[in-house]
Amino acid sequence: MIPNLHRIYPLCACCKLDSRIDACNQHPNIRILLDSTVDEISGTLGDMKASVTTDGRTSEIKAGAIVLATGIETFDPSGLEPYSYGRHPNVVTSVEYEQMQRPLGPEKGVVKRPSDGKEPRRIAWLQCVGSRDVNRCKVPYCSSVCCMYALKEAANTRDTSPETETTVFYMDMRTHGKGYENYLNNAVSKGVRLIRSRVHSVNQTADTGDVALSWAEENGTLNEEIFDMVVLSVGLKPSAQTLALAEKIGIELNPDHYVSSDPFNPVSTSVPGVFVCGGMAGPNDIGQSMGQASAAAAEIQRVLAPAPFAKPADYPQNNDLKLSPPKILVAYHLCGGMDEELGAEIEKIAEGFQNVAGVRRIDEAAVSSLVEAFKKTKANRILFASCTPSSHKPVVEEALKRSGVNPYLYDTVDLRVLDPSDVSNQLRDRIRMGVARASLVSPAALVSMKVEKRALVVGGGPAGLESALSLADAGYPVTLVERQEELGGNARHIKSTWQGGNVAQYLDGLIRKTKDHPGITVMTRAEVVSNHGSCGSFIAAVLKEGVRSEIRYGAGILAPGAETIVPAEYSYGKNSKIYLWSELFAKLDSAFIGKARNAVFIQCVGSREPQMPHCSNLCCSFALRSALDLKEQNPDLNIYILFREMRAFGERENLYRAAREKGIIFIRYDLNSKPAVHSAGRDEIITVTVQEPILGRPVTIEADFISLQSAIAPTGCRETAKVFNVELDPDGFLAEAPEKLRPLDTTMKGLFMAGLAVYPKDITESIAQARGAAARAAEILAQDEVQIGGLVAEVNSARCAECCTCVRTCPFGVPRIDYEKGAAYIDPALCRGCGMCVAECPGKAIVMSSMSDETLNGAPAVFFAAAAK
Amino acid sequence: MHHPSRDHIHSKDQEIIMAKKIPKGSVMVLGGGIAGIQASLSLAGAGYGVYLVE
Repeated sequence: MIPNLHRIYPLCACCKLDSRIDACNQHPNIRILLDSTVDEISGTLGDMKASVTTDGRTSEIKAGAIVLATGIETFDPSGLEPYSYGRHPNVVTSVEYEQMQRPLGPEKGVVKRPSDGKEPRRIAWLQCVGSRDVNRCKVPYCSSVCCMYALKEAANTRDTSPETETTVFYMDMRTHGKGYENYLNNAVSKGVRLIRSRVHSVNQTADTGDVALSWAEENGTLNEEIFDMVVLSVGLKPSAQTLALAEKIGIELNPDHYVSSDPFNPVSTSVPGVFVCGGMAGPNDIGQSMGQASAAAAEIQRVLAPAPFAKPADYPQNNDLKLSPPKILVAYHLCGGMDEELGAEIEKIAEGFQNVAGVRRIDEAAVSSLVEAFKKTKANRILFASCTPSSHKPVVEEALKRSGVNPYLYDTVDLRVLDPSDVSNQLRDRIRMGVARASLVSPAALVSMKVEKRALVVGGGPAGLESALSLADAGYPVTLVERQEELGGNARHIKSTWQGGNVAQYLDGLIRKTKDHPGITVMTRAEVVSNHGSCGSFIAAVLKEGVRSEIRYGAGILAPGAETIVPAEYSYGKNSKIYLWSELFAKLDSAFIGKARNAVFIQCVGSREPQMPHCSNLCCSFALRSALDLKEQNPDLNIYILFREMRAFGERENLYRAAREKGIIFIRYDLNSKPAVHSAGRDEIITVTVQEPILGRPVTIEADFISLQSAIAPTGCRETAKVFNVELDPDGFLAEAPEKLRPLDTTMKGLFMAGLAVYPKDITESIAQARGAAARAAEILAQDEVQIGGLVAEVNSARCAECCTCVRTCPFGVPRIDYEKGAAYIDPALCRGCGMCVAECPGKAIVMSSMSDETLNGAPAVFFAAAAK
Repeated sequence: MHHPSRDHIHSKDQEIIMAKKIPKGSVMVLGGGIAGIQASLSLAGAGYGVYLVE
């Protein structure tokens, strides 16, 4: 699916995948079978057989376990008459629209409508096409990703063509993931118009090619508006292939045709030894899919010992290669949809340089092609041009390592930043400057360090416990540090998962297994107070009841959790029957539920407000699940859910439908007309007044009790971030690594994250994340050595005057004064290579091999010499 | 390329944990989208031979 997207939130898609495809291609332990179909799978865990047909030939492959990752396809709207798709040329699907938006594609990113090539000035997105629709397309669930991608497409359209009006017609705006609410607010501030509505029909207007849209507002008022073009936000469904495969293997599917799984074992299937991740597991976004993929790897490590194909081989050493004079291999990569002309231009420009040894286009098998070209051209360094080169850096570094030379003898040129209106000039200057920099780059120092084979887990909630158990089961010793006396975290307050799973029972088992595991050391009432070192070799200081101890570990998982806020509104604390969601089931007794007449749930208490803009994600599903459970206990209880958007994303939509069918009443309110809660005293009657948007007048409910779905705040994250030197996102949760598609990596290499501290989510997703983070940590712990250094700052002691400028300048607090040496010291393992200390050092005592003064002084000469040619 | 497996045992406590009997094998990943790719890389990183079928 991803290669079909122009951008994935928030960047473009293709190169993120390319580098990973390359990594698979080049890995001695991965064998890729393309154009293959699986005919049959038999056997049991540890001893499975699959018959696979490739190009008409069938072979039998033995494997210990199987991961199902066959993905999704988008809903085909051709059969839905009201949308006119296939009959009206200017009604397109969201995937087709993404293709039009590609900036280096055939139309240079200028969207042109299919009927007449005119640039559309008014575009409408219609949500929930092939989602949340039982009657017309038999898709009861919410596809979960469409709100975000429609916002992305509309916001990108506003960025590239500000005069174009973009309107999204939606039922509920479901932006529940990490940073998604900010993305929504940002899209609105860019002028993306949002209309809560039900679209009635999409009609052709007489021969202009325009599209007439008729829709009903929330209160039933009918409207019609003319658009130049309409984009259908098509939903997700498991691919036909997936369903056929599931049937062959005998995997149990749920009524939505996704692989059914236990809420506490999200990547396991009904067949032991077969695991599932990605689109086959449910309508997941990319981050969730990747977390599940790693979680599947973690689950396999528990039950299967690894049998590698190849023995690890060492890199060669090419000591004969001379670094001067510089001879550059200029290599470039064009993503699918990029203008082929670019390649010819790059070749023409690069060939004009004397010190360019050769120019090569790199497509498939990038590493081995680079190694071969490097050898053939007798080059001694590389200049690599691509869209988003940061994602290709590992490929270039690997190729240099395999060529036996220093992996940092290269520079890059970013093709994505080229302004489409002036490609030729910008390309010429960038290639020239790249050649100038590459010719001056010098080999960076590298140090090898032994990997400490132990993991540290911070946090004793489900995320911390799951990741600790996962790593320990895979054979790595773990130390788990929890601040409180009890293990269990927020899960102690929850009765059941949204799917109905018994949380208390699960949690008891989890805590017992953790405590009994010989490989896990549990430290409660303990805190990590400082942390040093780098990936593969960290040292944490732990303070437990006044006693300080040291833990050496190779990789860590941060799962410090989050907390429910205590609201100052809705009379909380002033009446004994007004509860927070986290205390509801502990305080309600069944006798009281049995005789209660009216219950009110208030959503978004403190969430999605200016002072705390994020969505707390799990509150909608909590309210739905709880309302259904209460209704079962007392069918006569009237339940009112007062909400702003009902975010019953994914298969949670089934709960929303069930709740409406059971007569639970949903009343939407706006931020500027919040419900008013009144009670005369602690045990007095409670009244709730809310503006009913369909009737257009206030409604008053006499409530026996209220559940406030108070926000989940990243309370402990700031302290954790400070101790571990990791960054926070704008909402205050732990931030993702800057390289995209690393949803479980913190900004510090070797430290991973899971659970509520990443963003609010339900237990099932926390479990998948925790196990995924464990697999990421295991990738490091499986190695014996890690290499550190490379593009980092180095201090020339002789020149250093110990003035502390670097100590004050470094945003990461890395430099310190080594009094024995009488100079500043920058730990190569901690330096992030930003270069600020290099620029600020008054004595010019700090250097970076990629950005030395020689480079800065020398590059213009090379650049202008080339320009003069 | 250096991809050591977990056969190399480093510490006493790890030896104890690794002593438990589990079958040994490679893994087959069906599907070459982002999930399949990520699963393959995670598994290969942990020392497994992986068949990636697309």
